[in-house]
Amino acid sequence: MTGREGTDATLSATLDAYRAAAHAEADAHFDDRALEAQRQRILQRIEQAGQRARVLPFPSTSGPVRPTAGVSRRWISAAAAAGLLIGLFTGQLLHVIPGDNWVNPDARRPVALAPARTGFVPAVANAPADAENALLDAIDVAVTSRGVSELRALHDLTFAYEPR
Amino acid sequence: MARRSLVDAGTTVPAKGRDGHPSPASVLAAEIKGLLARGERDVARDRFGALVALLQRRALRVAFQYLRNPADADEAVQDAFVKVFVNLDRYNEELPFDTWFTRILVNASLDRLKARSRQQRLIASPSEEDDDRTVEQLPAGEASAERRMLGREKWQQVSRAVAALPDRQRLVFTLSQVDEQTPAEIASATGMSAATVRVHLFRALRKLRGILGEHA
Repeated sequence: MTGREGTDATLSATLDAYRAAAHAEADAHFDDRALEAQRQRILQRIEQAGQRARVLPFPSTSGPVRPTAGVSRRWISAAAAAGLLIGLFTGQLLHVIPGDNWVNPDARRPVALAPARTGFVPAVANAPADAENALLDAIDVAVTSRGVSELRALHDLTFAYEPR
Repeated sequence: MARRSLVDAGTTVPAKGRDGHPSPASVLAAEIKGLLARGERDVARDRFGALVALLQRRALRVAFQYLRNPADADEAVQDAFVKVFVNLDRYNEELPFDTWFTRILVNASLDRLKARSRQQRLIASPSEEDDDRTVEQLPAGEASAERRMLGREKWQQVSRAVAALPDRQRLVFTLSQVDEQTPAEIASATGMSAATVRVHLFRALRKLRGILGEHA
């Protein structure tokens, strides 16, 4: 008998013994009582699987539904709508009533912050004066506009030197 | 309650097994499928208990050898039988029921293995402690005789070698050696080709042969 044949014979015998030992090992873990218990569990699970799923009411409604939730929701909606209307009305009122923030209609005219470019090239001597006037006009308009408080200090400084 | 014949049940003739006759499990499964088709669920459930009893021990042996954990094997077998009953209307009687069941059992075992891997991040292998516990729990008669024949040291070597096999090789080896299935049956049960099954089995046996050769 060669070494290979000997190993094969050993392997075959070992596998036969392994099979028997493996069966015995598993059977030792699952005796007849365990098998019966497992069988019952399987049938129980099958029975549960066959039953229709019970739908639990959520949220649970044991008593009549109280209308408080709906009423409060309506109150919140009404309050929000009223707040919106009041806000709009107040905003319009501020435009109508003249006050400190009243704006000279002339100031609402669009102002070109830079001199319009034309094909005409001004004389060199007049150029600085024109540019200065345009800048001062722009500052004046900006200062008289609402919401430009940052420029008021500049306006106060430059007002005395205004050529007008 | 008298059992109805398969003709009365309106089912097709179950597939023939290795010996040319339909296996008892195939006959029973076809009968239960017929009962379910007629809406006789309670009777079908009772008959299913007999089917469970027929296959249960074999299923536990395979699942235990593959999973190496009694609780996991128990769960996997339960899952497999419940899936069988729930999906019995899909069972094709032209194929052996045993093969279909093995496929479901293998999938249930793989699911259990994945769940355990997710939990533990390691695949269980029989430790020294496990082997000792197993020896003590074995029945005094048959198991100890088998162990004596195999030899304790060699049993541990083979067990470790089998546990160390890659998953597919271990699955094929378990089905082949523990459940005594043919490569064709294993191919049907696992979805592998018969050639792939043979390759896995060859590699598994080569490793075991090498281990046995080293320790001969």
